[in-house]
Amino acid sequence: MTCCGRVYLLLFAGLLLCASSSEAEQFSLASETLFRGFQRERNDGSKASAAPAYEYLQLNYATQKIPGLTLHINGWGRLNLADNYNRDTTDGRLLHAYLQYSPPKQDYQLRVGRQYIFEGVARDNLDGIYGKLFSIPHTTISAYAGVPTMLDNSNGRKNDLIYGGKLTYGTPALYDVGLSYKHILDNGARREQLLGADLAVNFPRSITLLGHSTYDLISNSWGEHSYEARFPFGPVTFKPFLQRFKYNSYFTNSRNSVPPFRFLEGSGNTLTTVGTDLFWYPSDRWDFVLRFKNHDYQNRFKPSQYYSLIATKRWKILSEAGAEVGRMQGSEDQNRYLLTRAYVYWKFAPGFVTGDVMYVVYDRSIYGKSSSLFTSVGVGTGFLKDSLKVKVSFDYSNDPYFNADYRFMVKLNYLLDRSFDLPIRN
Amino acid sequence: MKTIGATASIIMLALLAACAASNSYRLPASHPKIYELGERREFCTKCHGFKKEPLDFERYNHTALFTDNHRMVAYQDDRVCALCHEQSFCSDCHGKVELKPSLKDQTKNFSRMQHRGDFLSRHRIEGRMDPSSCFRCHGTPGTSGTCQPCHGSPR
Repeated sequence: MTCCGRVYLLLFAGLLLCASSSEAEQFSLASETLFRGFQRERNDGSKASAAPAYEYLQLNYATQKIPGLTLHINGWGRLNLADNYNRDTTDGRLLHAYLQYSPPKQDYQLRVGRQYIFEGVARDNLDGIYGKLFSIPHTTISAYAGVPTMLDNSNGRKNDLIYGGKLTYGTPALYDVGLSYKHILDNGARREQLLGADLAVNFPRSITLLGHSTYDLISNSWGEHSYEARFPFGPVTFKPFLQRFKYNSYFTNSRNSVPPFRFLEGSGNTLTTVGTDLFWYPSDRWDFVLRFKNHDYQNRFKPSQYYSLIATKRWKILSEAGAEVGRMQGSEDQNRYLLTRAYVYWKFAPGFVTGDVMYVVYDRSIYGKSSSLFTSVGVGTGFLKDSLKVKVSFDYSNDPYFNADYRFMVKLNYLLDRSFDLPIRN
Repeated sequence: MKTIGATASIIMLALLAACAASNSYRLPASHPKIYELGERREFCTKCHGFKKEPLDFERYNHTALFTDNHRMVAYQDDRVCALCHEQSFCSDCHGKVELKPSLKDQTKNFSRMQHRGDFLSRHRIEGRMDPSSCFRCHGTPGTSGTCQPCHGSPR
């Protein structure tokens, strides 16, 4: 067992000790078991098949002795049933395992353990601590520190560190302004050091402005500006947006950087995207979305555009069908495609049926093929008052990578949600 | 040095005094469980926003493009997301996972996951046109496992 594993076991044991009372405890266990299988013929004529099984487990535990104290654990594992899919016969990951203390009538929150942080410029997994205080009028303060979990493939996690925080000032329903900071050290070397600012303003008539900017303290320049506004006019909502990414500052070229993005950092390019989403809700059952984006580049490519129309119809409570047409109009034919898609999700409690078809045409063929076809059908139903769900799906693809790709999946979702009394400790 | 210490003390006292006051609005710990919440794209404004409420619920409506745009609202305050979604929901895409989300939940076709269908072929075009969207989820060594067989490992 790793050091982290022992720490998490201690956390769990500690919670159980705290929980030893006669009051009802709350425990939930969600299990997702997936049996996948595929048989595919690659475009060079070679064949491959595999049958991996996956297990995703999630455990939540809340003790009533200390209201607001909860434990959350989630992870996945794979077992190959008849092959060496993805090289290793087994794989897995502890995604998160943390204790959270969020007292019901207090305005703060604490977390310790492996967790996901989403705070301004931070969207990172870490083993560490996180705290948020929102008792100061108009102000929210958060801070975190720990060891990042996504940098462990270079010299392990020695001298890896992440810390940062966010300060938000605002008035509910009117505006809020946030300032955030993040610093990541990888093997003791500075990997990321970012300052972020975000903004949300609500104007009269439900008009809003929302967005954020990121300043890279390593290159000393702005890496990203992303802003969108919302203008509702009855059943129509108009959402223009603007995004600007400076590659030198947005991508990282530090040690342990990922290849497809590492090279972009030195390209000197800047991407500016301007566009709008137009939503039209003629009734409760129908909605239409029209999207337009214009990408403009400082170098390498000439401007390109993306157009998309999505229509959705809903009926009953959970059933819906949709269709989508999208066109990427790049300046070169290698950057152009036409996408069409139709799907249906038809619910008839306790079961459902799904269908999905996607057909894409590329203006310049990829590996000798100028189109892709993807189809999928699925069925599912619930047992034991819906605590057990069984879902089965079959897919077929014919695309530039595979002449024929047949896949099936059986998925079992099981949810155990219980309250129980622990024995009284003597 | 004394000036800095005095200033820090005043700020601390001011913060403590401010803490004594209470906010007028406190988010609940979680959204009440409703029928199959999470098994469809929810529109918060179906139930919220008719009265004067301190949250702009329309911002959180799960429209057909919400998967593309949700980062904008999550950056602001992830506590609103946490009302309905646990961290495991985020980890299905943002954690170190092997199965892309569109495969793990193949029958959730209404989610309009980016990697559905021919994305393996199309990603070369999407990546050239807007690599920032790839980087947000695949920009670390831990989350680039699916990139590495073709693009190489981090150095």
